[in-house]
Amino acid sequence: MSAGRLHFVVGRLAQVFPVLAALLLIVVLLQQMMPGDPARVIAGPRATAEQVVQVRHELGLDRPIFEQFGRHVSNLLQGDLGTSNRTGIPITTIVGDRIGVTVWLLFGGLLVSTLLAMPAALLMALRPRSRGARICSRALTIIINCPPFWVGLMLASVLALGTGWLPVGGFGVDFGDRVRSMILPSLTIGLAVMPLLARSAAASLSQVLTADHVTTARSLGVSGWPLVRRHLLRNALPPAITLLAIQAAALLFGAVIVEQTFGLPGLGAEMITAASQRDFPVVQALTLIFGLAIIGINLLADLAVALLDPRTTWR
Amino acid sequence: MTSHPLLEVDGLRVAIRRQDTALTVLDGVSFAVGASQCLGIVGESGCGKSLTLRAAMGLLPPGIERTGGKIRLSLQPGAAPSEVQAGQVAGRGLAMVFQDSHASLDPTMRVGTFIAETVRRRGGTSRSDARRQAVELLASVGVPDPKVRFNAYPHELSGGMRQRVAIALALATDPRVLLCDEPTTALDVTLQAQILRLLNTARTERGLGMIFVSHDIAVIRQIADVVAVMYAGQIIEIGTVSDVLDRPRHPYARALIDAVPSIDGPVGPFRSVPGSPPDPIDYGSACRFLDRCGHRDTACEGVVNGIDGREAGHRSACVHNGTLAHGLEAT
Repeated sequence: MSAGRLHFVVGRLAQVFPVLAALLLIVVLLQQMMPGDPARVIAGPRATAEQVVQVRHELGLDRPIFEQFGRHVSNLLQGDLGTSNRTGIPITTIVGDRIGVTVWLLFGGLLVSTLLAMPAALLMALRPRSRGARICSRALTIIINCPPFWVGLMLASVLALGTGWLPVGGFGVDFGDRVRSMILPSLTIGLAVMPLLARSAAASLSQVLTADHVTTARSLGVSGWPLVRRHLLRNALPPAITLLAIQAAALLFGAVIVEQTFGLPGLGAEMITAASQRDFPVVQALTLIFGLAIIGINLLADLAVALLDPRTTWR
Repeated sequence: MTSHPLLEVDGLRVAIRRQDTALTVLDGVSFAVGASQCLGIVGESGCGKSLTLRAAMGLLPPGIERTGGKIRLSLQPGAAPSEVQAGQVAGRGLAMVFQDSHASLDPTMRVGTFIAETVRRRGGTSRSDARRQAVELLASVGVPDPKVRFNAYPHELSGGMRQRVAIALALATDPRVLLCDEPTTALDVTLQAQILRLLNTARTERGLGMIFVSHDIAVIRQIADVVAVMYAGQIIEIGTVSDVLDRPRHPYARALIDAVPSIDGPVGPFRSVPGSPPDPIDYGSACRFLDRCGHRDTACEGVVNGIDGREAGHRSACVHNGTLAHGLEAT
C-alpha cells in the first residue's frame, strides 16, 4: 500500500471518533427532547408526585446532562446498554436476540439489490439504445415510485398467499426456513434500493465508457468482457459504492418497515414497539446501534473505494 | 521503401449519423504508408486529422460511422496489404499513441501490469515472460529504473514519463503501423524533442510505418517524410516534407505555413488564415477553401475533389495547381 493510501486509511479511521462522540451526545439528548416524561411512564398512571420524583432520581434523570452523558458512555464501555423500562430485561439480551434477523435482512437486501442493479446498469450503459435498456429504464422509474411497504404487501399477496410457496411472515427456526422467510423481505428491501443504484452505476459506467483510457484499451485490442472487467468496472464502481453507503440509512429505514410488514422479530420492529411504548432506554440503545451501523457502513465503503482507486489520498 | 505499402487507406468516408441523415465529415481520404516511413498530417482543428486515424483503427466515437472506403494492411512482413475490417486491426497490426497521456492511461492499473497484459494478448507468452518483456519495453522507451516503475500507477509518473509508457504500451502489441495523434502537443519543447527521437528510433529499429498527426508544423518537419495537408475533410496537398512545407502549391497550405512565425523573418503582426473552415453541412462539390481564398475564380466553383494520397509526387487539389505556384511563392 502506498504512503498516500495508508495515510487515507489512518485519517479516515481517526475521523470516526468525533462522529461517534456526536452520535452519543445526540442519543443522550434525545431523552431530554422526547415528549412525555419517562419517569412518569415507569412509575405508572397511579403514582404520586413523590413516587415520580423517586423514580426520576433512581434513573439519574435529575442529574445534569453532562453527568448523564458521562455515565451513559462509561456504561456503554462496560457493555451495558441498560434495561428495558417495560420488561426489565437487559437491552443487550434483547439486541442479541434480534440483531440476527436485521443483519440477515440487510445482507439479503444488499445481495438482491446488487444482483438486480448490476446487470441493469451494464445493459443501460453498454447498449443504451437497445430495447432491453429502454424497458429497464422505464421499469426503474416505476419501481422507484413504489413505497416499500406496498411492494412488500404485493409480493406477499402474490408470491406467498397466492401460491403458498413462501411464508407470509415470521422467522423460521432452522436454516432452510430462515432462508425461505428472508426471500420476500430481502426482495422488498432490494427493490427499494436497487433503482437508484442501477441508475448511478449506469451513469458512472457510461461516463467511464467515453473516457480516453478506455479508447486506449480498445486501441490495444481489449474488447468484450475483459474490457468491462479490467477497465470499466474498476473505474465505475467507486461512485456506485459511495452511493450505496449513503443509501445505508434508507436501507435501515427500509428494514424497520419491512420487519413490521413481514412480522420479523428484528431490531426495526423492536424500535417501533419501544417507541410507541415510551421504552426510552431501548429507543436510545437502538438509535445508537443504527447510528453505529451507518458509520460502519460508510467507513467500509470509503475503505473499499480507497482499495479500488490508487489515486486516493488524504486531504 | 519496399515495393508494398504497409497500410493503404482508400477513399475513406466517414459520416456523423443523425436521425435520418448522414453528415459526411471525411470525404474520400486516401493515402499509403510504407515501412519505416512517416506520413505527417497537418491541418487546423476540425479538419478530420484525428478522425482519419480513429476511422483507420475502427475506434470512431458513438454516432460517427465509416460509410465508405477500404483499409488495407500488410499483416506479415513483405506481404501485400489485404483488406481488413474496422475494429479487427486495433492492437493487431495498428496501434495508437494519444495526445493526453494523463487521460489515456487507466488510472487503476499499474503501468507494468498493463504492458505485460498487452504483451500476453498477442498469445504464446507466459506470465513471467510477459513481465520480463514489459520491463524491457519500459527500458527501451527510456523509462529509468524500469523494474521499479513497473509497479507505478500512471498518476505517480510525470507527463513525459507517461507518454513514454503510452508508447511502450503501443509497441507491446508489436504493431506494423503506429498512429500518433498529436503525442507531443501536451509536452514542453525539451520533452517533445525526446519523444520525437524515441518515436524515430522505434520506427527505424522496427521498420514501423507511422502516421503522425499534428498541427505543429515544426514537429512535422522533424519527423515526417511525406506530408499531407487536410482541409474540411479532404487531403488538399501531399508531397515530401520539403516540397509541401517549402514550396506549397495550394493557397490554403501556403497560408497555413505562413501562419507559423519565423524566428529570423521580419517582425510583424502574426499572419493568420482569415475566416474559418466551412461547416460540414455546407460541404459542396466546389473547392471548400473558396470563401477564404485570395485566388478564387470561376474555375474554383466546378467540381474540386480531394487528392489521392497514394500516388507519389507533389500534388495539390487546387485547380490552379501549377500556374499559381509561382505567384504563391512570391507572396
